[in-house]
Amino acid sequence: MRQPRLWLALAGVAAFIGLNLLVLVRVLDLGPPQPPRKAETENDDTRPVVRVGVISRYAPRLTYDAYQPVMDYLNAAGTHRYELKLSTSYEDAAAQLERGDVSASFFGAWIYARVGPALGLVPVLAPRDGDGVATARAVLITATGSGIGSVADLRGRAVALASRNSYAANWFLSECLPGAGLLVADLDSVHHYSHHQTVVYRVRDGHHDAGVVKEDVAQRFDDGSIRIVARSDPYPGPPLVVRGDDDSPALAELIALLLALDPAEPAAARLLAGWDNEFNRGFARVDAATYAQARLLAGEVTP
Amino acid sequence: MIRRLLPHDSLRTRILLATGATITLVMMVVSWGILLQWRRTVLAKEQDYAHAVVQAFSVNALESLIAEENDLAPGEGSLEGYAADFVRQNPRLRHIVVVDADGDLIAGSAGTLPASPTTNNGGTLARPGPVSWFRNDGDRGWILETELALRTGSRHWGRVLVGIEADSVRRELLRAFLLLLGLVVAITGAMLAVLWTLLDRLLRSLRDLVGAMDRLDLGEAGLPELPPRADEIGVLFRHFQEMGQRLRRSRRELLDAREQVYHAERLAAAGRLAAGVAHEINNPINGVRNCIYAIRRDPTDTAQTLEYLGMMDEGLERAAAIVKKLLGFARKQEPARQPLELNAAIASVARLLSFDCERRRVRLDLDLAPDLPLVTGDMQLLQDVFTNLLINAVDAIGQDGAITVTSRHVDRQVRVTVADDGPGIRHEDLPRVFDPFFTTKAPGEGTGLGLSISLGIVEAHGGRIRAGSEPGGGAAFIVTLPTEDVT
Repeated sequence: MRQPRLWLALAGVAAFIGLNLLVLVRVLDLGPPQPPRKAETENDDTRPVVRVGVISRYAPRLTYDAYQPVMDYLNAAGTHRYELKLSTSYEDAAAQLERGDVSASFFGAWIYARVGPALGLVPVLAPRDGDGVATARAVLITATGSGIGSVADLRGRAVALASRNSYAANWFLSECLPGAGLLVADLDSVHHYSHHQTVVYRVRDGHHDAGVVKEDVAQRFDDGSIRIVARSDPYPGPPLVVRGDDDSPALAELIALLLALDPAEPAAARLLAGWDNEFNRGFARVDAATYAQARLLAGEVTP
Repeated sequence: MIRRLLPHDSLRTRILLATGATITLVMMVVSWGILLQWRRTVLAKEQDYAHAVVQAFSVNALESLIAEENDLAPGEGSLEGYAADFVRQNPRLRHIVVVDADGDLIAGSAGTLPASPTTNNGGTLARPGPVSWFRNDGDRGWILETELALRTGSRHWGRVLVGIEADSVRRELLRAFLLLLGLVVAITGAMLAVLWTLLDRLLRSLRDLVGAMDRLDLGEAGLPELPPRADEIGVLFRHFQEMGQRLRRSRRELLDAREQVYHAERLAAAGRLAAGVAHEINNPINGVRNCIYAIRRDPTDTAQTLEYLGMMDEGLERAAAIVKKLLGFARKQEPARQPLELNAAIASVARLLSFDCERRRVRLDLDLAPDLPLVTGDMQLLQDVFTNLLINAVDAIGQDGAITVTSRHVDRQVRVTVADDGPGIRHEDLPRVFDPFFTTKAPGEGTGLGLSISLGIVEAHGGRIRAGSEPGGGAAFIVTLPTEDVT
């Protein structure tokens, strides 16, 4: 009887040591290699490339985040491979068009109105607004609870504006302030930021008393932290411009595909819902006449 | 040492082994559960850290790739420098690698492209988020690698692969394992120590009880003292003492009953002796009567009268001695322990029974060793023993037979054999002949207590008595008593 009990005790001790060693090995083995994952091959698209220019008003990555879904749609629906091409200025963008580096380019409304006709560029499309037309608005915003109730309250206040080439900044300086009987000199300060979002951030955190941005940008901050004080009349949206002499099939396809997006159709609505706010209502056709008023405001540059 | 503390078959060893094994098993399972859960938490935290690192780096990496493609690059090699700076600022980073969409190395702190499930096949990650895995990189130890695809929409730019040392994680896990193992051993040891102490107290109480049981004396000595306790052991102690008291009462009642039965048996034996006694007394009485008759016939013969008076006195003394012996047999006497000659006791009993033997024509032969040593005991009680044995022999023979009583000195013992040539004892009755109330005599002729009482007397003198018989060949009872120098 003693011997089996002794063996039982020894077996228990051995089991204790063995099990703990197994657990230790299991704990310290941080994991077997990941199971081979299915790898997708990189795009081996051999279709002809159509490049679409964008003046990078935002950080390049943010610009891609905003415009790449449009390219994805075109790639999926068209017969060409569409790629973005960034530029840092309208001069670069115009040069790209001129050189044929890009077939079309997204311009800001103010820039186009100011220099586009002189460069021989023709607007063909612009994003729709909430009313379904290719217009946009600029808005004067202030932080909720700032005490600013009208444009006239801006006297002695610090104002943040978007780029000097933005329609919103120029609307504020050329129409909004004068309309309230104020001059820039009546303000405490005016500061331009490169991006519309930055204006909202600086107003919201109190660096500036008010700011002017595109309405669709202001609408992204619907958390109650900012309030719209004034709104511009509708003005033409930022156009997709092309060379006046470009009648290539690729360009025709590009225009046709973008115009084909009807937000009233469920499939298109689902697609547009994932796009940037600026484009998520689709596009409408525009032409040079659409920007006639804007060209007057911008003081069109003529050669 | 261990064998002394934990004997193999002790109750304590079994309880400690069973409890220790159970506690150890439970603690181990709980500890493993805690350890594995903690491992999952630690690894998840490490992966979160790796994801944060790769995502932080990927912002600039993507900006650089986009800028480069759009001719916006701030300068060739900026991504390389950024990666090296990133590694410098994060001491746990082992490498950062950026590959383009074709899987070609374009920047990174590592000179070569580390092996990974995806970076060497030119493909893209199937999932958009960071993917992590651990691998053992030989001399560089364990590394947590995390890969993130650089995408904008469906546009794939390449991947970032970050390697973070993971040996510190393994060390942390090892420390946790050893800590939990130590806790298991310590807690199990502590619990077993407490259990050992409790069991020791319990078993000590049981040993006290066993000792008290061994010391239990149902005689006049008091019951063994046990310490008062309020727990279950105390209840056991109390019940033991109550049981002892009941045993003492029962023993007293048994002794009283035995005394009464013994006395009754002696009275019965006395009745059996009466005939012999009457004969014994009759002889001296007849002698006295003859002397009186002779004196009356010639009262003047003074010499004859004196002679007859002497004979009368002698006869009366003999009668008085017989009566005294009979009275002594029937009277209860306190047992005495004194040196005595066993031959004398045998001869005395033989004389008392000689008339009965003659009446039944039973020859009673005494073969007594002359140099028999003394034994210590009570003469009266031992005479009772031999009386019972001889009466049983006479009754067994009935008429016409022989009884032989032999005494011998053997190995510091005195052995007395009472053998008869009667019908003997049946084989199946032999084991029961000393049982109380066992008798083969006809109803009313025997109580069945004689041999039982004789057995008690002999054993009380430190001796033994046994019976032997051959069917048809008579029976023999052998009484063995220690000699005086032994007792």
